[in-house]
Formats: sequence, structure tokens, C-alpha cells
Amino acid sequence: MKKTAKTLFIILVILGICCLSVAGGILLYRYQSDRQSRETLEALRASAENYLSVEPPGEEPLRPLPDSAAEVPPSGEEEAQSTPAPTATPEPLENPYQDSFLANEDMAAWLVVPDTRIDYPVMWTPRDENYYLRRGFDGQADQNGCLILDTDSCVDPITTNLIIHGHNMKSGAMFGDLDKYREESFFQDHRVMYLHTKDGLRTYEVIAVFRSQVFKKTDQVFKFYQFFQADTQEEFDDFYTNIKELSLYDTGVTAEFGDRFLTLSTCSYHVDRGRFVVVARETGCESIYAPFH
Amino acid sequence: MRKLKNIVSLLAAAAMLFLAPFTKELQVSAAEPVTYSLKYVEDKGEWRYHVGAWDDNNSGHRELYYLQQSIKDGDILVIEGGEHSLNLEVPVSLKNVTFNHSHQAVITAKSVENVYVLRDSVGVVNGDVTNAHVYDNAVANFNNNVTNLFITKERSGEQTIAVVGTVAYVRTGDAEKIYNELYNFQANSFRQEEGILKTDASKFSIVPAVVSPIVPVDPTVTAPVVPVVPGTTIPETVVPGTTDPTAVAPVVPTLPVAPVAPVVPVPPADSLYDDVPQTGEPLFFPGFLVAGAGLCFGGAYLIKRRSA
Repeated sequence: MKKTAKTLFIILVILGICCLSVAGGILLYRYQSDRQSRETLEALRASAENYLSVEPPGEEPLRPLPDSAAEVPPSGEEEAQSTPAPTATPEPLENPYQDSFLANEDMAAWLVVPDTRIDYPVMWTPRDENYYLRRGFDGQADQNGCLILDTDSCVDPITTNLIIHGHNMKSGAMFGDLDKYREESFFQDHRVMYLHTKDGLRTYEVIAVFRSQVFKKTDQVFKFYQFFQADTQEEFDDFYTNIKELSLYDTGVTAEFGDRFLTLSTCSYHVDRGRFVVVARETGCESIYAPFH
Repeated sequence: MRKLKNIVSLLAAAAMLFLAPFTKELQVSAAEPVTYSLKYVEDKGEWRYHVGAWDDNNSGHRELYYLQQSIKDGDILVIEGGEHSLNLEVPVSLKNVTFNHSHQAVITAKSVENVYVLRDSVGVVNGDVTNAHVYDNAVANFNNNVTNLFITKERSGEQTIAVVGTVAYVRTGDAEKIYNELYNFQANSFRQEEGILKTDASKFSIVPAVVSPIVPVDPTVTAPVVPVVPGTTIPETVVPGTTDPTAVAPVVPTLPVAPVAPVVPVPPADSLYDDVPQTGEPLFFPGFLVAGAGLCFGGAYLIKRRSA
């Protein structure tokens, strides 16, 4: 009896040590891969900062929308007044993210939501939509993955709706901060988003915030993730009406046929396969970027 | 020494128990399936078989008669290319049948789990098929029921396919994308000619939920002649069991089959939902391991305390 107990004791101790070793190994591996991804992103951001800090002669530097944008009144008419009227075609600027575009041709854009941690490259891999789901910008394993532009969306030529998927990480990485938009006060402070594409800087303003889910293929319901292109008024109305109805609060921002959208989607746990969605309307192309090679 | 053996045995058993969840299944091997490669040997003037991959330099091939004697359930047939027709009947259920550049080959079996009709091949199967894969410009004829039919484009060309029985699920696509998914084709309704589906829309479903009633295959229905690639002629087939190329068999023999209920594939839960990237945070696996370690150490501590 004593011998059996001793044997069992040894087995349990060895098993415990094995478990701890494997856990430690996994954590170390994740830490290293996360650190590597973080460093890669930091380097890319720093590279962009260098471009942004150089003020082109006779041109305003790239900047966030003026503060007044944060006070856009709800009415569409007044909103139109607050948007500067387009003037002559602006001089093309150097793309601040050109190093990133050149470093990885899968990068479709760079998304920035000022004053949040959302400042990431957006990858587009039509051959395999989920390629960057668990991979970093450099293609190495990374639990955070990258932001993914839906394969049915396209930036060139641009589709009516660009859908970007990102992980809802507890650490706040990727779209970990996105569900803060459930609070209207957060929306008021972070209503503007920027998308740097190869050819320009597009600005967006949040128009709807809602919870949804991934539905069954046979479900005949509104599926926000299946709207990419509106070629008719009906297609546009269907999307627009639904997102406005679903919105957790009235953003006061309106849209009309011909407008383009940016949809940010991340996992949410209010239901099985839930999604938290923020839809923003394109308000303009703030800068045009010169081609680079 | 005996004590040490006991400890090693116990450790091994514990390790197996610990690792079992990670391997997901404990595998038990039965008799290994045998692969038979079939090819027409010009100097013998007949089809021969070879166990394993065909080797032209190896004359160790034998008459098909011996294959029919030795083949067993779960074995694999690979029909290699050639301009001669083949008509082979085996009294077993096969695991795989591959038509590789076969000019026209007819295989009759109790059933086949997987059929692969590769590019530039013409293949006919008598017997129920679980998974049929037809590639590029292949021509295929299935004279009984097919559970899953995968029509895949690898390079170019369009498939021509006919099924006499029912087809529960049809998927058209390439390596990157699924173009179409269709369900529950009624008996003797699936026809695709050079990539174009000729079946009346009332005879199949576009949703998987609809389960067709049991539809017996009418034994009087004659099998359609296998469409042949333009520019070629339909060769005569060799009667099974003979080596006389002049003996002519029907091009596509149709066996009367018992009524078989179409099997509606039960897709994995994920496939029922729209294909949207899963952006949830993954489970913290190391946490489970640490908890496991805690349990182990706790158990060890209790044992030590009791035995003290």
C-alpha cells in the first residue's frame, strides 16, 4: 500500500512538473512571438511618424480632423456645412505608410482611430481570408493576429463597404477597445477614424454602433457582413435602414446613396457567434498620396 | 528491479492518459488496405495489376483474375492511363478508386468510399459512392447513389458528369473558393455537361435542411452513355473475366440497386453558419495546464500526508 502510494506520489509530481513545463514553454513562446509582432508594429509606426513629422512645403501636414469634427451636429445639413468644401485637387503627398506597404504586399491599408489603441495595418488575402487571423504582420504566429479586410471588400477599386475584422483581445489589442463604442460618450470622443490606403487618406465618421451575430446560411435576416457593394438605391436603403435600426444610440450622422462605409467587426459574447459592429461613413479623402515603388 | 518496472509502467500509462486528449483519438489498426495499380500491358495485350505503385521496369504484374481473388474490403484501386478500356467487377467495398488518365474504365463494386476522377480521365462506377471527386475536364458516370459529389477545378476544363442514383450534396469550387453548394438531387436527375448543370431546378434543393423522401432507383432506367470528350470515339470494353478485347460489354452496365435513402450529409456545426472570420480570443490553454499541475501537486501532497 505504501509502495503504491509512493509510486502514485512520484507520478503526480512528474505530471505536475510536465504540466508546468509545457505551460511555461507555451507562455514563453507566446511572449516572444507577441514581443516580435509588437516590435514590428512599433517599427512600422515609427517609420510612418517620420514621414508625418516632415511637413511638405506649402502643404499642411497630415493631421486629424479639426476638433470641430468632434462636434458635428446631428443634422445632415449642418454636418455638410462643417465639412470643408472640396477645392482644387490637392498636391499628392508622400504616403506615410509606404514602408509598410512595401514590407508586406498583403497590407491593404492602415487603420487609425485617434486616442485608442487601434493603430494597425489591415491585411487583405483573398486567397485565404483567415491567413492573418493568428499571424502577425511578418507572417509569424501571433495570438493577436492582424486586422483583416474581408475578402469581398476591396480598396482598389473601392467597394461601397469595407469590412474589417479584428480580434477582441482582453489586452485591448486589435479591436479589444472597439466595444467601448457601446457607450455614447466614447463615441462622442472617438467619432472619427482614418484609413490610409495606397492612394490616399480616407476619413470616416461613426454612423451606427450595434450588436449582431453570425447567422446560419439559411437564415433570411439582415447580415451586415454580406453588404459590400450598393449598386442600387434599394441595396443601399436595405443596409442603411437596418444599421440605423440596430444602432444602440442615435449618432446623428446620416448617409445617402453613393456614400461609402467602413465597418469594423469584432467578436462579442452577448450571444453565440456574436459580433460587435461599428459602421462609419466616409466623409472624404483628406489627402492624396503619390505613388511609390 | 521489479519496482522500477512497475514505476515505468505506471508512468507510461499515466503519460498515455495525459496525452490521450491531445491526440483526440486512440487509433486501432486493422488489416492494412492494399493498393492495386492497374495498367494495360501492351505486350501481354491485357490489363494487369501490380500491388503498390505501377512500375514499368518491374514485370511482377499479374492478370486481373488474381486481383479479383485477393482483393478485400477497404482496398484501393488506381487505374492508370491508357487508350484501352477496362471493365472490372470486384465483389467488395473499396476504399478508394482513382481514375488517372483512363480512357474509359468501368469499375463495379459493392460500394466505394472515395472516387477520384482526375483530369483527362473517363471513369464509370457501379456501386454506391460516398465521396466522388471529379476534376477539370474529367468525364464521370455514377450508376448508383452518390452521397457527396465534389466538382473541383484545378487548372482548366469543365466536367461532364451523370448520376443515375440520388446525390445528397454537390459542391463546386476550386482550391480557394466554393462556387456552389446544392443538395438532394432526385434519382436520375443529376446531369452536368461541360460544366453546365442541366438538372431541372425542381429536382434539387439549394438548402441542406430539406430531406428528400426515399427515392428508389428504377432498375429499368438505363444508364446514360458516358459523354465522351469531343474528338474521341467510345472504345469497346472488355468483358469482365476475359482478356479477349473483341468481347464487347455494354459501355455502361447498370446494376439494379435496392432502394436507398439519400443520405443528407451532416455538415460540421461551423459549416451551417456564414463564413465569417472568428475573432474571439482563444482559450488560455496554459491556464488549464497550470490548473492541472496544481491538481497534481495537491494530489501528491495529500498522498504524502496520508502515507506519512
